[in-house]
Amino acid sequence: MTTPTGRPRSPEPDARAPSSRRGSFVDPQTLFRIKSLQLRAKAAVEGFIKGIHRSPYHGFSVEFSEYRQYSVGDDPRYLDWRLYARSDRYYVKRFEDETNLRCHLVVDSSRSMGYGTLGFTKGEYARTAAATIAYFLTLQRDAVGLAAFEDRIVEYLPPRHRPGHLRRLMGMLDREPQGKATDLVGPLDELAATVKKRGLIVLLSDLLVPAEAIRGPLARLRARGHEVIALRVLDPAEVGFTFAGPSQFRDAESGRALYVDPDAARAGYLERFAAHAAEVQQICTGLGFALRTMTTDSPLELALFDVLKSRMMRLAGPSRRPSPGGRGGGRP
Amino acid sequence: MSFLTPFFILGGLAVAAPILFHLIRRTTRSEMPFSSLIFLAPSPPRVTRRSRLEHWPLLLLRAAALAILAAAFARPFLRQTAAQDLGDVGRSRTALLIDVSASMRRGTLWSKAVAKALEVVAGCGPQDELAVLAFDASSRPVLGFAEWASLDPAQRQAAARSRIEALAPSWGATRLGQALIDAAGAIEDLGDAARASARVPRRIVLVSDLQQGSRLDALGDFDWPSDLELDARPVAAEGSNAAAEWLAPSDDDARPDALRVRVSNDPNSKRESFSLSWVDDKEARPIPVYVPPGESRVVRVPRPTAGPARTALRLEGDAHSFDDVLYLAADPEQPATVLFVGPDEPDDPEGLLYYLGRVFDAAPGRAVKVERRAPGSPLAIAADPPPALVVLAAETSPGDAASLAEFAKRGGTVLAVVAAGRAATLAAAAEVPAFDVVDAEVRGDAMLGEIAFDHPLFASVSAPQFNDFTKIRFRRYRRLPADALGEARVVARFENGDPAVIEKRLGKGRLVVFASGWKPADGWLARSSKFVPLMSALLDGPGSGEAAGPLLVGGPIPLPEGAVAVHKPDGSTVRVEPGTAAFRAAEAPGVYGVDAPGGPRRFAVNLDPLESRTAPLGVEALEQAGCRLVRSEASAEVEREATRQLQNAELEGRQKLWRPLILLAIAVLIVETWLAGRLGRARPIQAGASAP
Repeated sequence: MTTPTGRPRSPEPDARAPSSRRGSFVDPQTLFRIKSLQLRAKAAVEGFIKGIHRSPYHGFSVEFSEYRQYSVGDDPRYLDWRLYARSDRYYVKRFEDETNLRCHLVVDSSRSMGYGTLGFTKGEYARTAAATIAYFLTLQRDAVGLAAFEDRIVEYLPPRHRPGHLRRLMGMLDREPQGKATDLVGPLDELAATVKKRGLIVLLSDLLVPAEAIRGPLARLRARGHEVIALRVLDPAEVGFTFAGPSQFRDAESGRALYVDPDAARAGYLERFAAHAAEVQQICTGLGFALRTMTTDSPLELALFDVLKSRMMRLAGPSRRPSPGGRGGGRP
Repeated sequence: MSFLTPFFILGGLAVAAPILFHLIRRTTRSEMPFSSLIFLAPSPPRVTRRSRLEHWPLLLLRAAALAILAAAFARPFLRQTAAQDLGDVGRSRTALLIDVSASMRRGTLWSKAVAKALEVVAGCGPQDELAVLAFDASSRPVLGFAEWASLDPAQRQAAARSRIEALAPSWGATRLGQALIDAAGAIEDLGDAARASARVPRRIVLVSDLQQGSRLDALGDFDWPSDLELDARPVAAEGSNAAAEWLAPSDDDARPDALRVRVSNDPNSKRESFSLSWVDDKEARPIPVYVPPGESRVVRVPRPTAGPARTALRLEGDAHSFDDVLYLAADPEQPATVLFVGPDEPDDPEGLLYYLGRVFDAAPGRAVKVERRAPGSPLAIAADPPPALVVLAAETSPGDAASLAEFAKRGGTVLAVVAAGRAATLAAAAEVPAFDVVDAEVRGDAMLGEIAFDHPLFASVSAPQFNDFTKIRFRRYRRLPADALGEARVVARFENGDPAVIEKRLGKGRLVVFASGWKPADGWLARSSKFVPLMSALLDGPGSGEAAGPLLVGGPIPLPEGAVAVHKPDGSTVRVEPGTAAFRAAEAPGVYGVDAPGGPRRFAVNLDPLESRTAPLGVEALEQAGCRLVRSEASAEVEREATRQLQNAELEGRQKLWRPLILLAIAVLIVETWLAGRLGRARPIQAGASAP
């Protein structure tokens, strides 16, 4: 799997990406000063769109329209000749029923997501990312739903595209989670049983469970024809284990405490962490899923790339007969 | 410096713990919440090489406390202060116990025993302690530990030898159990007297024939000392033994004119045919007795006529003759006289006298003559021999009342059966003011409700199978005023608490008052089986508590009132102090004569029948009785080591060096606590981990 830049992806978070690539995006520390989740999402999307109109993603913005590029097999009747004249490219007019991507945002609200060292927690970061994606997809007239889970699904909102739906979704995301132990198997199986129509599933979690435990539920989602993007949210301290001085480390989920001297334990931690990450990556690759590891100090907009890419791939299928009520779309 | 329990010194290795803890960096108290511990392993405590100087005193204190505790638990003692003299090496303490009972008279047994005893004496070293004890029915020191120690070491063996050679077997029974306890006690007493050297090897050397009749029962509840050994050296006689024994006449004997003799034969005996014959009657034919080995037979021997002849019956045909002669005092007992003072006729079944004349007919071996004194006739109590009992059933003259009191004071028994009215004679006899006796109101009949079975009057019927008095009902009885007789004991009461039988001691004798008689009009006492033993007990008089039965060597011979001398079988005469109740110097079997006011009496004293059971007992029986027998040479080294340990324990127990060590450890821990508290307050709490 490759990033939009074509760079091979590594389990290392994109926080390590060169700053030149991140310069145009909003710094999370700044973004999280905004209290309202909705405003935060809006700012992130706007920053993303601004960044899109600049290099290195120039030309991509065209895709945020009611058009998509002509591909072999499309009906030539729906070619937009005016657009061809302007851009010298073939675009096919899209109709409303085609544009409807069904997306489920699956957000981990367990206790381990309540950890954070940057002034905000992984959970807040994940919910903000989910709000950003929801806002962005709503702009694209896609149907967005939400499933928040701990050891089971605690909040569920089916995908819709109607007035007030985004506000309800934002209100759900704004609620403080109860915080229980992580269990991926139950909630994902529950989701697979609930969601009948195929769509995009964006999983926002730290995936801090034994790697083998996630293979089964993800494979079952895959078997039902869903596209899955796993956005793994981690704190920089978890990635680098940058602690100093021995402490009693208390597990956020089980409450178990261990005496750990970081100087002595760091090498072993990083080794086990890397092995676990590689295993998760290997499982996702094996199942044909996208996995993006994001640290909470990395820009939120990066999450949108994968969603956008997946959306494009899903909508790149053979076009269907336009419905009589199809709307022509202008460019954003 | 030595240690009693050196393994506890290993506890000193615990000193490593405080040293290690002082090297370990203090565990932080800070807590770091973290998302998941699945990639973390607990870190082992880190050992730092940086030793902080300010903790050195604390470390030293903790290490010192542990080391002192370990040393205290190891129980140190100073061996040089023990300074045991070289003489302790091989030293031992021995009690030599020599059996001098009658069974040692068999064959060459005594000479063998003396030889064995002399061997023990010859084996004693100059440092050894020895005591010699002889025992039969009792044990007596021949040479005590104290005397042995006081003698010149060169003279000790010679003194012991001469004392042992002077010993001779007695006629006494064997009480081996008690003798072993006495010997153990002699050794233990010496140990208590000299604690410093109490831990030398101690043993009892027993020289005995270990016959079956040795009586080990005294060892039953004796806790044998754990470090005291018994070295049994039995001596055995050739041949077997048979024995004869008088049997008591039974009440239902078909031939009361014949004496019954039981003849027993040893299990390992080679002889079966014996005979019994009177020693001093050459004309009488011997009575043949056939007794197979291990069995016994009872034969009847015609009772001899009274006289000096026929006082000894010999068993012929036995290999060992020490127990073959049975002695018999053929003197019939002096007839006892009972005076009855009352109006009753001897042939009137409604009166008291009718039953009194018949109750003593059943008394075995006793001729009782009942004499009646009508009221008004003089009492005339004979002084020699005095009557055994005076029954007072009527009022008499004041003079007779005074003679009754005098008779009682000399040791006689007066039985008063009271009637309603003024009891002047009874009051005068009891030396109290006259009082009135009234008839008690009896509804239906009365029973005895409270009986003092410890009193001699009722002692013979105190056993559970005999002590049912519910069948004796009284139709009438008399009530005496409370404390009418002064200081007296109520022996039995009726159900309602009224006294039934009262006893008042008068000088050497007594006055017994029956509140109800044995006339049919009074009740059913005369028809009760309890009547005969009750009257027999009255006839026995006060202080006649000695057991009736065969007289044995070493046992007491009851002396009649006023006895002055005892003639032994060997012809010697022993003067008796006035008031002596029993003669206790019957050291040999035979017929003893007693000079008494009522004429000379004779008593036959025989050997203890158990002494005739000469079959060997076996050393194992001593072990079963709880004795610790001497062990073999194989365990001698173990024994020496155990002895050394005991000596060490003794030294340590006296020095008790662990006590100051424990106190020192407590003091060190107090200082350590104080210092740790100060350092703890002075040390800032280390900050927890900080997030990056």
